[in-house]
Amino acid sequence: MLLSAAASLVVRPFRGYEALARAAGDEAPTILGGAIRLLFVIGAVVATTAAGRLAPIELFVATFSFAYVPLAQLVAVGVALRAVSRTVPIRRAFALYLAGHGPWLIALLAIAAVCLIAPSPAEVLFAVAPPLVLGALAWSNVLTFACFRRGLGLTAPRAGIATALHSIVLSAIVAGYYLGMGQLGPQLWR
Amino acid sequence: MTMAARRARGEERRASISRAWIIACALVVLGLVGGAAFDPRPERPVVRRAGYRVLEADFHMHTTYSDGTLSPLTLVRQADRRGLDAVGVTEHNTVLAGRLARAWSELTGGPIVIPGEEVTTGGYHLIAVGLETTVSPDQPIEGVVADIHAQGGVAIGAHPVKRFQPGLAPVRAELDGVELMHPIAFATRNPDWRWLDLLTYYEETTPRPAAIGSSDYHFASILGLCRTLVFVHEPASAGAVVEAIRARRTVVLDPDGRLLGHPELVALLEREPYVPRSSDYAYRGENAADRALRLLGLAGVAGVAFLRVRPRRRGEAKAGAGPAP
Repeated sequence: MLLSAAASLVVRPFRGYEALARAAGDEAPTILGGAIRLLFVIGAVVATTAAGRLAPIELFVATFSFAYVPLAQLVAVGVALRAVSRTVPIRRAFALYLAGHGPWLIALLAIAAVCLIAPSPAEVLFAVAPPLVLGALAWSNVLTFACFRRGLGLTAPRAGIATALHSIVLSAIVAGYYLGMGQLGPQLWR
Repeated sequence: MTMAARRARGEERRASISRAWIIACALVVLGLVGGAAFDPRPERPVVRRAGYRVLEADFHMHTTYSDGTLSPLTLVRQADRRGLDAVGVTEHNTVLAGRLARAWSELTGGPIVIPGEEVTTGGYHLIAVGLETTVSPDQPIEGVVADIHAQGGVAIGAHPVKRFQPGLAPVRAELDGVELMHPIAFATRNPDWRWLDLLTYYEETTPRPAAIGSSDYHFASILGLCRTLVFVHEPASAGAVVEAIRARRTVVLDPDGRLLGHPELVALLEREPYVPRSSDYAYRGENAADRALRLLGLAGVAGVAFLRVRPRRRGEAKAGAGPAP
């Protein structure tokens, strides 16, 4: 099979994470590999949508600009995992989690493809971007649950709590940033 | 380890990289080559009319400091690529991004970057151009405008759709400019954001503020889509641009190409037409090679993301999802 774990997990998240949990050596997912894959795709999509092509400087800078994304995700995973289990190895959890970005990678690449191919990109983007993003959000939560449940062996209730906590913590990090920068508060209470 | 053993191990490692993944990497390289080759820096010729220097400007854009997708550095680069002479980097409720962008532009010889802020509240959005310190939105709007003016900046009503007009009402007569050209003139998802409301607001505001066109850039290719022609005294500088806005020496083009703004300057441009620089907002590409290379590059990115790096070894069990790096 040609497909990587990132692709396979999108289609069969639970069986995929079971198999990934058994992988060892060169076959096991890595934290760096998962993070680089995500940031590379983000950089490519930013370059493509902003410059209309794979402009190297835009790609390179965006890869670093968005480095906070996997960092925030790992904080959320760490907090959620430790809330439900003291024994699951954190590094292993991070590596498995970062293998599950497939839904977001697909959504981002689809958005870039629309920009390059659609005759009227704005109108098509207005139509397809919301369902793409919402779909990626929903399916990525399924993968997160599968990661906790089958990848890390948590019971279903603990995996559910961890998934919910992960979303809450991640949302809190994002909201906390915008509140700290003074960008969100005035929109809410002024 | 002998040389032969080392060589054999190296060959084994090379053979362990899947051919499909290597092809995907090659496509990415092709895409990057195209991205560099077809990304020229256009000329920004010096244009004068009636003793003024005419600058093309965009006063409303965001970066990765808030909800934009470009960093201050690449925002300056893209503004340069789109033939903008002056830009206001107006992050939500902070001037930090604008100051970074200015430093980078001065270092690299880019466009004039004027630090600013989009004072963003639930009731109004106000573009402030020409700031050095952040103006707090946690005060009445009269205080916001006073702070902007105290710093020597100008206050521009941002996309004054019906929803934001009540919030701007206390300072309407003090606005230095009003955004009457905005990308909603071309396409919008929100039926309550109507371009004609912006035009009406501008025409009914007294005293008449400066006509401003801005892209409100967050994402995609619309940087500079709506731009302002600013008539400045030379030498062109951030201060000259701010002075020109304060003196209302601006003109914008509506979607039909009609000139709107300072009456004398509109008449001048009708006698001596000026065509603003355009950019490839619709992703048409430079030519067939550009279009082909960028698609190949994107396909390569998808391949790098979704293909196995190492082929499945002989005898490896076919699980639901084969583990792969």
